[in-house]
Amino acid sequence: MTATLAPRVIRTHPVMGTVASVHVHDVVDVAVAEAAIAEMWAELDRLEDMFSTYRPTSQISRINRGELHVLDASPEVLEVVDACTWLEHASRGAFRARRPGDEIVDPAGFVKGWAAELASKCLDRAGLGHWYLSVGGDIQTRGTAHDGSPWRIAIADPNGADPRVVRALVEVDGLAVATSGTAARGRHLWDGRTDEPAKSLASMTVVGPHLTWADAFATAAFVMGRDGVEWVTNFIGYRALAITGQGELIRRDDQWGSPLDQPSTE
Amino acid sequence: MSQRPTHSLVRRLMPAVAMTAAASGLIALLDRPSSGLAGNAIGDPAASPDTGAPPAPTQPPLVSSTLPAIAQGGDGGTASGQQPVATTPAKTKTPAASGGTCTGKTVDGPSVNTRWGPVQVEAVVSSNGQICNVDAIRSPDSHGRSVRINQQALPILHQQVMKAQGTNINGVSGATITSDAYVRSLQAILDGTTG
Amino acid sequence: MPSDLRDRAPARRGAASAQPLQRRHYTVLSDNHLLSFFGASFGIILTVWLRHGGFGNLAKGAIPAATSLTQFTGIAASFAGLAGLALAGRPVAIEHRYGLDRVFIWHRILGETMAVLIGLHVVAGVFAWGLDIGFASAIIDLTGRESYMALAFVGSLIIGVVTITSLRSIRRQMSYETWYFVHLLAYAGFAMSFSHEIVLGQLFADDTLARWLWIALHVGVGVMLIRGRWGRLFVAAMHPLHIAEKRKLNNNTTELRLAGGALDKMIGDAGQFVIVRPLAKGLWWQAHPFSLSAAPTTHGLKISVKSLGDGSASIAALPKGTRVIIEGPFGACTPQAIENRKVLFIVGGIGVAPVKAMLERLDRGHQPIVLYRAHRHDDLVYANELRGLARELGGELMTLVGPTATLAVRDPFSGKVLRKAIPDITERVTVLCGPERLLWAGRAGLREAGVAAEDIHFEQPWW
Repeated sequence: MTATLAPRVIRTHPVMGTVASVHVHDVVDVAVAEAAIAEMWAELDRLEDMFSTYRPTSQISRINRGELHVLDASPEVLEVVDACTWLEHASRGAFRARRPGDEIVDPAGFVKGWAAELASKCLDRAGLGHWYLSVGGDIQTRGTAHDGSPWRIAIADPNGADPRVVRALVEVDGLAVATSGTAARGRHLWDGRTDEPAKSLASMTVVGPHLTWADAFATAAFVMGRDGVEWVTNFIGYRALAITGQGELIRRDDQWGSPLDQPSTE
Repeated sequence: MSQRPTHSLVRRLMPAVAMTAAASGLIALLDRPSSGLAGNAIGDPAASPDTGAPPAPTQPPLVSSTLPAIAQGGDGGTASGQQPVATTPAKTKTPAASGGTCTGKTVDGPSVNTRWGPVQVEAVVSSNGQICNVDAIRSPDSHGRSVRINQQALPILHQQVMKAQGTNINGVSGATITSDAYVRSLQAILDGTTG
Repeated sequence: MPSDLRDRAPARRGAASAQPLQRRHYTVLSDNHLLSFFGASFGIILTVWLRHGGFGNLAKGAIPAATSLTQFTGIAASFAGLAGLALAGRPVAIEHRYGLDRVFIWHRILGETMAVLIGLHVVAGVFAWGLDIGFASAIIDLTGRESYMALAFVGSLIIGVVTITSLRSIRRQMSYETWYFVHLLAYAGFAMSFSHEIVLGQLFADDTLARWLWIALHVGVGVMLIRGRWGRLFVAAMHPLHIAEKRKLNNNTTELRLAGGALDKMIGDAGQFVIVRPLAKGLWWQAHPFSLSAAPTTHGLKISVKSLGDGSASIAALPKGTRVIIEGPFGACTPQAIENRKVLFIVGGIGVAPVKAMLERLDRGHQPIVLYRAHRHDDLVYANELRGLARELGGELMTLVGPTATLAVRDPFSGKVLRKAIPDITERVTVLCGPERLLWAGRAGLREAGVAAEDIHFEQPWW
């Protein structure tokens, strides 16, 4: 039986209330890619079950009901709880894993990026080195695209109604891109803003080596507003790009390369 | 599904049943009416017509439910967060600094007992609050080394607004959308999953 | 035989010819009626005390004053207890007007009042007897040496335990059923004290009229209770409904349609809730309240069951055909409360079901605006239906999704925000439906925005 090589394998999978997409650009036997991808989806589902506050049998639910102490839970749960605590301090409270006013732990804001990065290791273990995984818009890349050029990841326009309009584009080589912000239209506070538009942000994107932290920092920085862009620079290797309600881009110039520096790859 | 064997109905009935038993016993114990009305006992508080009666039956001890032992780690999993910026989860790779441009004070976090042994973290914090490096000093397994990021080429940012044409974009990053919204999204076009 | 099979033909007919259930009369019972009745009844009791020199005795020295106070607190305690028991019987006229939530809240308040009065009664009684014969002897008398006092003493202890376990902070630590079985002992506690009242109470000893009045009161309330609370449950158990249809709305929410012959005679409307007892292993001894997720018709009652980990997940998993006992529908949050005015709904969590049901009953004059708060997009159950219904009636659906920590303002329910989002908010009747935090935050914000208190409707959480 001859192996079928494919220049690109693209698959999708609904999980965590959104859709995950993977693009594998390694030139490999399709069966190898598909096996690794199937393993990754299974791992994502397993992690979703472990942390879903909607499933009464998940470890998080059992912890919240007092049936399971956090120290007796799986290592992954402990790791996530520890990370959330560290993040809460590092972000001076902008990131919170405990729902305000009660004791329920809801690490959903952290788990998505962390679970995506952890699950994407299945691709590494299968020897794949040129891919990206997107879980609802939070992206981990590895290597470059099939032609050797960096992955071109567009940043969606958070203020537009047309989903095909993008506001910016980043070229990344093995980095992660995560965006936090108001979701579909209508989420600006009952559809009427009360803060001056200049102060509030429409979205916050963080680019850095690990999706776990890119996602976490994007969430925390979004809550912080404009100051969040500066805050992310505390962490070497990570930089932020914020988009305001007017469509203005806020970023630190020294953190980004400009298209004029490099010869165009188009 | 949490609790469901039928004997849990019995568990829920038990306090009420126990109270009923206690109440009946208490009444039997206390009800020692004197021969006349209250007026007859005035002036003789110590007298009891029933001095010679047998002692009231003792109550069987109430069944106390045994609670499962809970590990008293306190907030062991979260105690590491007591000192801001000085702690880190032992096993997760943390963003860390290369030595060069960032130096500062070394701060030790508290040692925390986890089920896999004690964990202590150490951080280097510069004078303006920037975290240069975070290390787990003693960690239960080999994951705890801090990650050193090589200086990488800066990612290039293109700032203009544009309408995407599928060929010049690989992926899209945006705030998470629902499965419903995905169908109309740009990512769906790139995935080739739109009808 | 599976009831599925039995009911198939009538069910098909049922869907086509479904009639809405009879609607309750929004009674003429007003706050004034209730207060006058309550006041007059208490007045009669007070007269008995006054006729026996109760007021005068207060000035006649320590022992007569203590005795008089013992009598007063005793009858006041009984009165509060009787009123509370009467409410436990869920009197129809009061429930229709005020809703079961308020009935239970008043029951709780009356119960707590009774407990406090009993405490005062015990203290006054110990003084009245103790100042006479010495405190040690008084206590021995009052706890058993005196006839019927052992019963009264233990009865008051039972009432004490029932009251303490019903305090919110303590009640929340036990399961509903554990609390309930202990609470039932209040009947016993109350009954145990009756004998000492009639026999030892000087107010009744030599006053035949007063004694018969007292007995009649107790018998009357007893009958109300047995008929209203237990009789109706018995009738409901004789005519159970069954699960006719199941529909999954999202990962953790299932909609059930309950049907059966008893629907013909049921009185109910959109916005109400029912108490469901599934006749299934492990669940038959549990009672769960669910809001109706659609206007009720003779074709069935629809409820949305969200898996909250308290047995509701087991209910969602019950097979079709399972029989259930239904009490209700209860609740005063119905379209009748909205009258003809424009309306605003503030909704979150499981509150969305009754709001959807109410929207189905409104018309264009109401221009309903729905504010829907959820933590995740996945939680937006019925969002499309709500939007469709609202728009059809000239209104709108506005959503706000995400953990509070990530919102653009600190308090999405503040008066300022609400006024900006809904400029004519003060002209509207508002119905709040959702978890407790949403109710209180929403209500505070509405008041801040200038909405009149009587224009704000919600089911008060009684649990």
